[in-house]
Order: sequence, then structure tokens, then C-alpha cells
Amino acid sequence: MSDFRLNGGCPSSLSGGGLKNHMGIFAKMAQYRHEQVTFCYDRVSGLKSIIAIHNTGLGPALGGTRMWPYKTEEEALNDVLRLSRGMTYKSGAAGCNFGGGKAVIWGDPAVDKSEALFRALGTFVQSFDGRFITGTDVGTVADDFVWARAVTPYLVALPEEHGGSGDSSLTTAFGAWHGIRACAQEKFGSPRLKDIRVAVQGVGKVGYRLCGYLLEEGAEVTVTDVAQASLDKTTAAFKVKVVPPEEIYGLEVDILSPNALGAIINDETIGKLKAKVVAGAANNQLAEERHGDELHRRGILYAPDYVINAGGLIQVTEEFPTFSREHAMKRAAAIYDTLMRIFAIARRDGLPTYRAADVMVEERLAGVQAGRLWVRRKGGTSGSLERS
Amino acid sequence: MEVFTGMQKHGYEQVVFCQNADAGLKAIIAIHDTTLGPALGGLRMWPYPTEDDAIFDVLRLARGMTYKAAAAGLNLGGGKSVIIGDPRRDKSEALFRAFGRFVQALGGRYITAEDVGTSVEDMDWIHMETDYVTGVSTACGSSGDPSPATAFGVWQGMKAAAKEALGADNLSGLTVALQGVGHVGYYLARHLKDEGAKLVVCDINAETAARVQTEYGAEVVDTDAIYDVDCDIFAPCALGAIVNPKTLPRLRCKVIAGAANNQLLSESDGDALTERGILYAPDFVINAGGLISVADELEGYNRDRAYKKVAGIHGNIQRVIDIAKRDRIPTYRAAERLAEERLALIGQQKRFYLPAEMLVR
Repeated sequence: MSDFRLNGGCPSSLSGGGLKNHMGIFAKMAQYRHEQVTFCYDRVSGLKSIIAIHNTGLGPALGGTRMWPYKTEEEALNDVLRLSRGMTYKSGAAGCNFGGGKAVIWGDPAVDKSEALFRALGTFVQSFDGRFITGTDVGTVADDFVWARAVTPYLVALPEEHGGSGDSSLTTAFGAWHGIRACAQEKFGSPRLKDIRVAVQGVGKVGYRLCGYLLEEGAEVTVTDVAQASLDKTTAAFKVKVVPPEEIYGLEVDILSPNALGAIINDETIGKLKAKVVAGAANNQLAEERHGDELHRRGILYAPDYVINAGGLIQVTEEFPTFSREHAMKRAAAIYDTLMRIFAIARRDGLPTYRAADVMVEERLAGVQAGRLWVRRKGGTSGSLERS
Repeated sequence: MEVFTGMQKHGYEQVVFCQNADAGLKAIIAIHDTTLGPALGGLRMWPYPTEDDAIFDVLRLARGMTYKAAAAGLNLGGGKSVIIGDPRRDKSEALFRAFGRFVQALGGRYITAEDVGTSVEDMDWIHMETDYVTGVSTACGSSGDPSPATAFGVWQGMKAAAKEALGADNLSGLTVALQGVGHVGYYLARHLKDEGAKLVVCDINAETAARVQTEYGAEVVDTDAIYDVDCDIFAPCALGAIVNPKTLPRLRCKVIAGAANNQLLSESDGDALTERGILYAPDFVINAGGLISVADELEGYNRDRAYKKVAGIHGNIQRVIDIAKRDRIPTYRAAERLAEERLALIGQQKRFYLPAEMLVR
């Protein structure tokens, strides 16, 4: 699995679905004001792909390409609509000048991948002439896009030797750490994590690095993972406690940091929580919106997933025109400020934080109307996206 | 409707659903095949009762454009677009400009034009947002009404068919039954008269028919009587589906050559024509003059050059006849084969690598 995923997760308001089956395509698009849905077919390679552009108010649509053996076309369509909208919110919250888009390839990543398939995809990406930029997501890896690179430059998160910015798990972990500090400031009155008890669920690439940052500050860290190898690596490097996966929710801790699965805040787990903060890098942490409401009711501070885990996205948006790791890390650290703004909106409007995050993005989108005022322009937007 | 199912059946490349809530735009752009060049096809505005009707229509029409452009020898692919809406009530500047931005977003892969439910004025609005539109008003650089070019092409194609079926070097002395003399039919009548053909015409509009009677000495018959006219050539220039099991036994012509779209109700009617020994000049080949003329606008319209290209329809109809003889197939099938063979052959040539900057635009 790749850490370069431009996996938008989704704004919580969309996580519970809302896209009903047997609606027309335009009805689905109208529901969340998607701009454009493009069905792409290549008879030679057999490529069947849907590219959805939700909103380009901030800039060209950015989002990964997911490859999945969907059962029906409608399932693929619902997924790409949901994910593309998620990217609008994720980019918007991260302060990126990119809009929301996503591509899905309808196929089985285990058997249907080929050079021809990804070149065909690249040709369709090129047909957007810079209005859509893509990279890896579930079911695709960075190397798949090396094939697409032959026909389009509008790609991010390529393998490093092909101009990509490389592993983004460090940036994601760094951003999540700053997000956790913001939560500590909001909940405990100080961003300092010394002696703060943190339960880290999942110590894969991101969780492992996050442990490093937390321990450096003097936090008390308990971890869990289903993969023994990840646990071994973590215990070898850091002084952490280990608990079995099912025990992580009920621990007597200050902060629960989910960095693995989605939907871990659900009917079953929510009653067990003793933590005052939920803040981690996993996607789609709330099983449903109402679980966000329930956290709010219980006085548990939730760092909206798509905000706190935006480090990877921030890194790839820094690939244009030339990647600067320093700049990427600086922007990932600013997740702290973004969360503080969201907490302020939550207080102002009396909203759960997951809703406040959506409101913040919607306010940004309403306030920034790129291209509305006439000024003399040189070249198009795409010109600025060329790598130097 | 499963979009991919429709796309897979005939190898469509791309179907784009475009929405702009503020302007009330719901549009679909279908690109069937761009082997030969960017997809050109009109924008239709129609109050489709369902979304599936709109999808079905835009797919069908886009594919038709691939065949039409390919058979005409143009370096253009096939595309089409539809706006779901009532052309009498739902038009606005915002609507067409929003559509224009989506056309621009395709970067020239699709070029739009006027069609049923849209007008030159609508194209001018679209032109405010995109370079990829033809058939704008003459003030904006267009060639204007394409009907004369279509008529000229039909006349050329008709001569090729007459030569084959009647051994006639020209149309002098031949009787042509013209169905519809409003636009294209009117201009066609003039060419035929000039060459010395005898005209029998009909039109749902009595004044329109009377004008051709006065100006070109045509005999006017009832709209339904046109099928029974004892003639050499039947030239349908109005409705579609006029060759059907009801009209077939009545036809007393040797050649069918006219400007109307979709002249055969079904393929079996094309087979029946062959059995009856009536030479059918396939509609999308013979009526391509308007398309050829509009396509010339893409290079900066030049009337002489455009008409020279339209005159090539004579040769195109000959080629269709040759393929029909070669493969022993009806002409409507031969026309498709002409297009398919060109697509396959030119598609192969494009595998020869040239750097992007060396490619001819």
C-alpha cells in the first residue's frame, strides 16, 4: 500500500452516503454541485475510467486514481463522486490552490493492470489539459503512473527517480503531530505533550513516525497494531507500551490517535472511550456523521480526519514547480493553525468540529473566487504547473 | 442506463456530463472517435423527457458524425453534444457561456456547432468562452448558412449516381422528384434546372413549392404523391425515414439521392432497394457538403477551397459504388465500410512516431 494516496477521505457530511442508487447522473451531480463527470473508454486496452471534477474554484482539480473491481457502474460512479468532493474539502482545508477531483478505474488491480491501460488513462488525463491532476490511490502504485507519464505531465507522487517527491509518510506524521498539539492546546490549555498519555492505533509508516515525534516531546505512548512486524519495529526503536488491538479504545489516556483503519469511531467503540481527544491520520474515522455529533455531546474533541491527515496531500502539491521539503514541512506544521481556526468556528457556531471543518472550507470557497476580477493574464493556469 | 455499456458497444472514447447549477446547465458531450482528428459535431438543445433519452441521442449522433467526417475525407473525428432544456424557454447567455467553458476545457478535442434547437446567436455566446466553435455568425467570421454548400454536394453526388445507374454524363433531360424545397432543396433545384433536368417537387409549405414552380418551372405535386412520381431520381431533402416498407413499393425511380438525414427507416429498407435495383446514394455521404464547408472554417474560411472540397462528394459516391460492387453489398453498408477502412488505415499511419512539435495541426 502506498503512502502517496491522495485519499481525500471525505467531508464527514458525505461519509454516510447520501448518493442513492437509481438516481440519474445529473441528479447525483446536482446534489453536491459537481462540475463535470467524464466517462472514458479505450477499446484497445479495455480501460473503463470515470473522472469526476467536483469543484475548481480554487484551482485545477487534484485527486488520486483508485482502481477497484466495482460490482456495478453505479458503485464506481458513487465512489468517484464521493471521493472527488472529499478532495475539494481536503485541499480547501489544507490551504492548497487546488480543486477537488478523483478518478476511478473499473477493474481488478490484481489482474487488469497493463502499460496500455495506464497510457490510455494518461491520455485522458492529458485531455483535461491541466484541469485535472492525478496520482496513486487505493489499488494503484506510483510505478503504474510511470506508464502514464509518457503521455501526460499532469501527475503527482511519481516514484522519486521520475521526479516525484518520494515517501510522504513523514510529512503526514509531522502534520498529524502538529494537529495533536493543537488539540492539546484547545483541550488541555497547552500545546506541550509532555506527560500526555497517547494511544496510537496503528504503527505503520505514519504511526511509527508519529510515535517518534510524540516521544521526543515526552508523551507517554501506548501502541497497538494487527501486524506483528510493525509492532516489533516500533518496540525496538521506541519506549512504548503495547496492548492488543481491541483494548486500545478503552485505555485510560488523554488522546486516542487512530492511524490505521477507518470507521473506528462507531456505536461499539464510542462508549468505551476515556480519551478527551481523538486525533490521528487515519481516513474516514467516523463511521457516520452522528458519531461526530456524539463525540461533541460527550465533550471529546475530534480533529477532523481530512484536516489533520493532509500532510501527504500538502507534500504532493508542493511538487509544482520544484519540490521543497522544507516548504512542505512548514505547511504541514500549519495544520496546527488550521485546526485552531476550526475549533474557533465550532465554538462560534456551536457545531461539532467535523461540521466546523466543512464550514471553514465552504467559507473559503465562497470568499475566494479565482478569476472573477479581470486582470491581464499571461498564459493559463497550467503553465505554472510545469515542473522546472 | 449503463454509460459504459453504450460506450463499449461502439467504442466511444469519452462522454462528459457537464453541470452548472447557477446557469441551469445540464449538458452531455460525447466523443466517439478521434482517430482522424478532433471531434466535430453540433450542439442540440432539446427537452429530453429523461436523462437516458439524452444519453442515447448524443451517443447515436456522435457516432454518426465519425462516419460522416471519415467518409467525407475530413481530418475530423465524431462528436456531438446535447443540452437538456427547452430551446424556447431555457436559453440564456449564462447557459451557453457555461457550456462554452466546458468545450474549452476539452482543449480542442471537441468542436461544437449549431444543430437542432440552437442558433447562430447561441454559437456567438459559446464563442465568448471558447475557440472551439464553428458556425458562428458571419460577423464573427463564419461561412454563414451551410445549405448552399450542402445542395452543391448533393448535386455532385447525384451526378455520380446517375452516371452509374443511368449511364448519364449529366442530368439533362432526366426527371428529378424533389421532396422538400425549403432550404437545401431550393438551392439544389437551381443546380438541377441549370443542368436541364425536369423537376417535380413537393413541400409542406405551399408558398415554398410555388416559388420553385415560378423560378425554375417545376411541376408541383401533393406531399404524399411525390413517392409515386415516375422519375429517374428521387431526391429526399426533408424528412428522415422516408424509405420504408410503405413507400418502397410505390417508388418508380432508378436512383435515390437527396440531402435528408437518416433516409432509411431501417437497414432492411436499404437491402430492399438493392433488390429492386434502385441505386441509393447513402445520406451521410451525399449530404456532407455543409459539414465540409463548416470544417473549412477551422482553417479560416475560403469559399473556393471549400467548394472544391465539397465537389469531392462526386468521387466519394463513386467510391461507395465501387466498394458495393467489390464486396457485393448494399450501398448503405458500403458507405460505412468506406469510413471504417479509412479509419483503420489512417489510424495505422498514426503509429509512425513524430515528435509533437513536428505534427501537422
